Amino acid sequence: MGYDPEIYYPKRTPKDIYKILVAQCEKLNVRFLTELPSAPDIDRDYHVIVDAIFGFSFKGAVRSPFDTVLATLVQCSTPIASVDVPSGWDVENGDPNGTGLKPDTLVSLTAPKTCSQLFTGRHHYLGLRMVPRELASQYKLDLPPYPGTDQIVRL
Amino acid sequence: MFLASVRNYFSLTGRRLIARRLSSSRIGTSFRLFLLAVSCHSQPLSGTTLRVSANNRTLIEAHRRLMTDSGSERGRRYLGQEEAREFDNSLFNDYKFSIDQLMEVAGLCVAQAVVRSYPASEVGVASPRVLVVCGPGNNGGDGLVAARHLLFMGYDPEIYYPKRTPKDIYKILVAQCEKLNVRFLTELPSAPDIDRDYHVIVDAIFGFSFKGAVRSPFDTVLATLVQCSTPIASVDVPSGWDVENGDPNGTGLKPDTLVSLTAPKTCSQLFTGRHHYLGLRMVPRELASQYKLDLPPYPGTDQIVRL
Repeated sequence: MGYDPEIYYPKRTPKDIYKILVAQCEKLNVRFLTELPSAPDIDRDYHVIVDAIFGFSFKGAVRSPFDTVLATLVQCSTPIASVDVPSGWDVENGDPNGTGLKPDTLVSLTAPKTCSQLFTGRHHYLGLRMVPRELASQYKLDLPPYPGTDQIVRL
Repeated sequence: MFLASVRNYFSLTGRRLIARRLSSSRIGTSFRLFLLAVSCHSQPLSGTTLRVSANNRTLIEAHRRLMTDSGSERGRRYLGQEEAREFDNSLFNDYKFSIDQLMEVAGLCVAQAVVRSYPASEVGVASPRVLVVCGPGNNGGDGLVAARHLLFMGYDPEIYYPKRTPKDIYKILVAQCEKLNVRFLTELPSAPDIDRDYHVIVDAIFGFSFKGAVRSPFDTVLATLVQCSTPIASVDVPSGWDVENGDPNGTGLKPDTLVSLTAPKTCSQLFTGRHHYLGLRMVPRELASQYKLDLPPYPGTDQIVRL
């Protein structure tokens, strides 16, 4: 889409799917950072941060190195777009201690998670337009209609 | 008058005119070479079918070389059959894309093109009925994916998939459709019944690998589909067409919509339907440059673009 991504991926679980995705990015000359820059350097060098750290499975304490990663990112003024759940948030209760990220954009996948009700950023999208109607009914989800052929919808 | 006729050579009709004139023995060799030189500045059409005598064959070879080499200077190039195969291999071998990824995005693009070309509001029903006809290869796999996305986009797909290559990827795609209660037809209805029951036909039978004769059961499938008045949306290459030379005998499908994937194939220049889209917005810039493709920009976040 013409943007200029760089990736920080400090802890790589050795699954084939991740290895292939890394390889694809490498073949496309996407730069993988060896360390996370400081907040001022991030603000100087990037226009957007995509938070793809923790998702709906996150539970308990934030383990290293992501404790320091989150501590750096919360200091950034660069807008953050979180994938499905803002990292550091409890998936249901949100961020009562205020130590998690404060994203400007949240991209909920399949269906919004409970904590997304506490999202106060500017842009909330729903995506992953692949929910079978039966399953949505089973979970009593009242998913909004997607416009036309769009794969995301603003909530 | 001269300029007008020169400009005419830039068109497809002009190129056919050149072909006919090249066959004429009344035209001197130097003028033939001039015609070749002029024609090579239009969009390339490799493998143009020319009925020529032996003494014109060297000229035709020169014509082919000129077309292939100089097409790059004049904008969009098209992929021939061998090139398409190499291009595809490059995506897998050099860029490590998986067949699943490409097939999923391809099918999504096909579904989007169908919905854009035949919106429910114009069709006049809430869930337009789509007959997806799938062939034995990856083109068929694209169709299976497209059916699923058509369902998610509120359309009503049914699938005819008579010859199933026993690969896991196809089995999984079939299972997904079955779990979503997408009906698989046991036989292809007659053309009148298709016209009565469906609003759109997705032609996912043969793709860029297609070569030679159409083998059973697809000979009868194509014979039925050509009789339908229901609009056809073809995946990448209209089935029954030669990937480079198109449909000179007129026995292949005549789609209303063509969804070219990654880059348009040579025969797409002979497409005369209403809607031509390019999809599969996953071509690395380097690869596009290497093949001298002048792919159009996609609008915003769209995964398909009208050509």
